Amino acid sequence: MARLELTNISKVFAGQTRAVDRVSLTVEDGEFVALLGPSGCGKSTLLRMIAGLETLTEGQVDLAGMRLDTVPPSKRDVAMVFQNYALYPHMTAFGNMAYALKNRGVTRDAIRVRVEQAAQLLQLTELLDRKPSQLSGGQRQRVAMGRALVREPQVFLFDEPLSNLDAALRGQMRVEIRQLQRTLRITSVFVTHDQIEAMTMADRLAVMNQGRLEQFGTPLEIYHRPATQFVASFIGSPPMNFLSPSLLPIPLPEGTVTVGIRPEHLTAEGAHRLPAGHCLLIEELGSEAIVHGQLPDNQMILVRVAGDHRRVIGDSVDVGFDVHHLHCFDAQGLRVEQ
Amino acid sequence: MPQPALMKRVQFSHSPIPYLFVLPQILIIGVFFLWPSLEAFRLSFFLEDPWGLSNQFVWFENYITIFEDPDYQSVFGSTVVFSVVVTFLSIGIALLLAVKVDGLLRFSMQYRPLLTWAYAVAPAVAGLVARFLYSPQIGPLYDWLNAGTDGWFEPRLDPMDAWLVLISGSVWKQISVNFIFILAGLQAIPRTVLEAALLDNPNGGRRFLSITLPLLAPTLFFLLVINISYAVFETFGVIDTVYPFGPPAGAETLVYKVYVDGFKGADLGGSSAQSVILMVIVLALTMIQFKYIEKRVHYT
Ligand SMILES: Nc1ncnc2c1ncn2[C@@H]1O[C@H](COP(=O)(O)OP(=O)(O)OP(=O)(O)O)[C@@H](O)[C@H]1O
Ligand SMILES: [Mg+2]
Repeated sequence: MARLELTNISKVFAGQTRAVDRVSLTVEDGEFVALLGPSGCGKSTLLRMIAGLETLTEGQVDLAGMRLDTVPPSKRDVAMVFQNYALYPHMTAFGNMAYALKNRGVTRDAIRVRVEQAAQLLQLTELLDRKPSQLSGGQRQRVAMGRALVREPQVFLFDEPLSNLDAALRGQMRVEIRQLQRTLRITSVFVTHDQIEAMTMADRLAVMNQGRLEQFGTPLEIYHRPATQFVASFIGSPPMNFLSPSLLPIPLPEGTVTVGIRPEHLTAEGAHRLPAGHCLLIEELGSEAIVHGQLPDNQMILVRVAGDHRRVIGDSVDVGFDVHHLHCFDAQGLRVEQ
Repeated sequence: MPQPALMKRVQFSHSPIPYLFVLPQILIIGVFFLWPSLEAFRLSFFLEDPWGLSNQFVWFENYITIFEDPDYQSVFGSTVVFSVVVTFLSIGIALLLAVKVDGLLRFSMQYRPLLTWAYAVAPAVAGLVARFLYSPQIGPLYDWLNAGTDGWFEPRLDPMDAWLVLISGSVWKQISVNFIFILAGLQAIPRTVLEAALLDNPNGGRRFLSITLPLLAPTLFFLLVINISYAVFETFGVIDTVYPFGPPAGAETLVYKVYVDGFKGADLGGSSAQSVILMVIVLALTMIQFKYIEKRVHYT
C-alpha cells in the first residue's frame, strides 16, 4: 500500500538556506494531507523532494515500505500538479494527458480509454482537441489534474493548484479534487497557503514554518490544541488573541508567558472576565462582526460577535471566557498543558 | 522572438507617426537594397559593351545564356550542396553546444555575458581565420591534415579541399550566432514544463525530441531562414578573404560568380541577370519555408 514516509528530511540550498529542516511526516495510504505555511517556509521544496526534482541534503523518503529518494524522478510512481500547471504548450489537452502513458508503453486503445475517462470526470471531453493556449485558467488546471490522474500514480502531489483561480472556481475545484481523491483513494499531499483550503480538504494538516514542521494533526486537533504559538496564530480567522498573563484573573500553569484565546471564544457570558475596555472599530461581515477592542494597558483584542450585535464605536467591551478555551504558551512558544 | 500569434491580429492604425518611426529603416533599405535591386533588374535586360559606352536592350538574352551555360548549372549545383551543408552544420553544431551549455547555465548565471562575445565575428574575419588555419605556410590545420601524406590536402588547387575550407570557415562564423539564439530559446522554455516532462518520460533522448525540440521550433525556424540566406549570400565574404585571387575552379558559389562575371569579366548584363535569379530563388525559398514549415511550428 502506498504509505509515504518522510524521515528527518532536510534541504540546504547553496550551503546556507535551510529550506526544509529535519521534517518527519507519515502520510497513510489513501490519506489526503495538506501542507500549510507562510510563503517561503519550504512547502514547495518538500514536495519537490518527494517528486525527486530536488535532492535530499539529509534524511530518507520511503513509499510503500521501499526507499524512494534513491529512485530517479521518472521512475517514481508519483504525479505532480504544478502551481503554474506546466502544461506542454505544443500538445492538445489530449496529448498532455496521454504523454506519460505513451512513454510508459500503454497501448493506444488503453490510452484513449483512460484519457476519455479522466476527461469525463473533469468535464473536459469537449476540450480535448484544444491547445493549452486556447483554454481558460480553470480548464488548464483541470487538464493538469487530468494529466496526473490518468497515470493512476501511487502518490499525488499538488503544489498550490488552485491559487490562480477565482474564488468561485476555487471553491468548486476544492470539492471536485476532494471527491476525486476520495473515490480513487490515492495518497495525496496538497500544498497551500490558504488555511480555509487546508482545513476543509485535508484528512490531516501539516503546518510548516521556516522549514520546520510545527504540527501535524487533524484540522480540528490543530484548531483546538495548537502545539505552538505560531500554529495558534496561523490557523483561525480572525487570528487568535495573545494576552499577557497579568490580564487574566485566574491562576495559569507554570511557565506561561503568553495566553491565547480565539475571538469566537470571548463572550459576554464567559465565566471569567477580562478587564473592560472600549470598542475601537467594528468590521461588519453580515452574519457576524469582528469587534476590535482596547483593554486598559493598550492590549488589543478581537471579539467575534453575532451580526445583530448593535454595538457602536466607543461602547465598552466587556467580555469573559471559559478556562478550557485558553491556550498557554511558554517562552519558546510551545504549548503548556493546563 | 516575434509573437506571430499577436502580429497576425494587429490592425494597422491610420496615424502617420508609426511610419515616421520606420522611415530611416525604409530609407536605408531603399538606398542599399531596393534601388540596387531595381538597377540590377533593369541591367539584366541589356547587353553592355565592356567599356560601358553603349548598351543595347536584348530582352531575355542574358537569362537564356545563363540557363544554357553548363558552367552555371554546375555552380548552381554546388551552391545548393554548399548551402544545405553549411545551414545544417551550423544549426546542428550550435544546437548541440547550446543544449550542453543550457544544462550548466540553469545552475549558474555568471557565464552568460561571456557567451555573447562570440556574436561579433564578421564573415571577413572568419574568412581570414580560415585562411590562416589552412595556410600552406603557417596553417596548423594544413599541417595536421597533411601529416603523414605527400600533399594529400591542397585547398589552393583541389576544389574539394577548397570546399572543406569554405564550409568550415562559414560554419565556424555562423555557429556563434546560432548558438546564442538557440541558447536563449532553450532558456525561455519554462523550467516546470521540463520538470513535468521529467516525471512523465524516463527516456532523456525522447524527452528532448518530444518536448524541448518542439518548444525550440520557433527559434529553429527563424534560424533556418536566416542561415539559408547567409549560406547563399553572405558567405561571399568568407570566399573572398580566403581566396583573394579566386578559389580553385569548381569551388565557387553563385554569389561569387555574380561578382566574378560582373566585376572581373565586365559582363554587367549577365551578372545582373544572375543576381536577379538568385534573389528570386531566395525569395521563393523563404516563402516556401513560411508556407510549409511555419505551419508546423508552435508559437507559445
Ligand atoms: N533553487 C533554490 N536555490 C536557493 N534557494 C531556494 C531555491 N528554491 C527555494 N529556495 C529557498 O528555499 C526557501 C523555501 O522555498 P519554497 O519554494 O519551498 O517556499 P514555499 O513554502 O513553497 O513558498 P510559497 O508559498 O511562496 O510558494 C525559500 O527561502 C527560498 O528562497
Ligand atoms: Mg511554493
